[in-house]
Amino acid sequence: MNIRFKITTGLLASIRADLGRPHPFAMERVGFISTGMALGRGGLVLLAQEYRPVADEDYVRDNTVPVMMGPAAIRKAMQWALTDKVGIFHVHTHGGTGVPMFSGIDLRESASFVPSFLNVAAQRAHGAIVLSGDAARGQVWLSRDGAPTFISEFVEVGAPIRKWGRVLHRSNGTRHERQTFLGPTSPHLLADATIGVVGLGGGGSHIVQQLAHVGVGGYVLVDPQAIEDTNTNRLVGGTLADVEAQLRKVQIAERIIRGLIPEAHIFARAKPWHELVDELRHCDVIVGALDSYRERDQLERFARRNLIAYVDVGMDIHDCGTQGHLISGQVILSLPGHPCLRCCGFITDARLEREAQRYGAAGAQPQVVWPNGLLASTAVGLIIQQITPWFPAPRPFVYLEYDGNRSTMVPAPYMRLFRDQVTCPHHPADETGDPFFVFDTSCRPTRHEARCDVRVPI
Amino acid sequence: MSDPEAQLARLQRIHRSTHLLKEGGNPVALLPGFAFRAAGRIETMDLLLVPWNHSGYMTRLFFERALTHRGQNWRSHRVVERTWWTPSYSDVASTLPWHEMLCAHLRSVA
Repeated sequence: MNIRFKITTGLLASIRADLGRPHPFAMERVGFISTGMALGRGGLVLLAQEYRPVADEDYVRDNTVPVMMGPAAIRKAMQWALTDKVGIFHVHTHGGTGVPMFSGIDLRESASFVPSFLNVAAQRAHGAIVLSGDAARGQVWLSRDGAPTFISEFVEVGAPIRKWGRVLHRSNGTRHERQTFLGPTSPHLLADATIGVVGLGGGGSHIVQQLAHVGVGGYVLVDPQAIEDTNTNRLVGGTLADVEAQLRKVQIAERIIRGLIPEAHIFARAKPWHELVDELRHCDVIVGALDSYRERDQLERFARRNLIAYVDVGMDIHDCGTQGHLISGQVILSLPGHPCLRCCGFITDARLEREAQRYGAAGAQPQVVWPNGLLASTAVGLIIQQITPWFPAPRPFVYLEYDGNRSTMVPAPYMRLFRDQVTCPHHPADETGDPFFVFDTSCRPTRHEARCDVRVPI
Repeated sequence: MSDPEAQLARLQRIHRSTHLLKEGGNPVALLPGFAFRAAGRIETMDLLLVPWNHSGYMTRLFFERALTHRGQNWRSHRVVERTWWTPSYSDVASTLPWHEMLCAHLRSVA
């Protein structure tokens, strides 16, 4: 089984900092990470939630090993697993660089206590992780009796996203001659990336086209609609013949990608995104090019629960009466652990309420092609910053406001306000993962469909 | 309403296996396999009561499946990592006790 471990840059940095503190007598420090879990098309996903160091008094002296935890440390970690229904991963560091190896002592000691976590939280995976200064290795126990499995891939979710442990796809080098500034590994990083695009109208169609030109190799394309005549003023790649053939928007997007990257990994479905969450869960970045605040709110929450970077793109045309029309729009980068669409006032309960009150009366919103193109290009820039190392310190929170009448795209005031804020109160870390996830009796991951034991009709 | 545990206890008197989950730091009540009357038939399915402002409504009750023969404008939503269905039904206040809130929402499909 493919097992992916995801952790935010902020949490990983705090763990490394804590493990680097000297201990009064132990040669190393150790701690525990709690995880949520989810199942995606690409396999099992372990999602780091919180780190707790082993308390100084819970170490015991043992000159035969660099560090030894006492029973109190393990008991506290087991209580954590039981109370919060989380997976528990023991963590320590070997320092240095590159992907570290477990020592013989690590393997022996982990095998002696990690399976016991399954006694108190059998429906979660538990394990051990060893860090270096820039990478990690880990093993997972999925059952009490089985042998541990190595974590296939680590993903550090930050700006940019970093991955270890996976063999990258090969990519045609000459294709990227004019974009070598993206970094020597960028052709492989781009080919290996998977981007979800939800909404393939005016904004999403531009984004897909540009991602294919840049060389992104993986796509999850979601839009339930077919192209109509009224879409042809802005849906890039759509033709009158497509309207005649009632082609789905996902088919048009797939055709554009295949024309540039025939071997691309594309999962395209003409369905609501709610029905394709297992596929979206595997994405490195999800782009929301949606019409409604409600859907944006829920898609961002899905991304946060699965530690996925989310990019929101949208535009509006406002009728200002005698003043003419105002074209406005926004591009927002929302990274787990950083400010979200609610933090920056883009999603509010008042906006959702107004939208709900307009239910069924909204009609067709005015849309034109050029603001969509500009906003989509800006979004693609942010996505490529997440994937490749071309920009040394990309901002983890970006909110750009477009004024189509003045032809300006400027940082929203929230960007300055949130410069130092790295926490978001709307998406708590302990909600990461799928609360309905359990292992079935054959130790194959599944989703739990809760059933009642008592039924009282009312 | 404050004190989710007390509210949960009241709901558990109606349906013992009800338990709390969280969405955005706020409590929601999951009622697994809840049986209720809709259009003269007994339906049994999981319900999710969101006792606070959600998607533009003061409170909401989400259903495992859409009951197309009752309620209006059923739409799917993603809440606590699961896809749910709910009709457009407003005016169930968040000041009500949760068990009353549940009953008020169920009236929309009764």
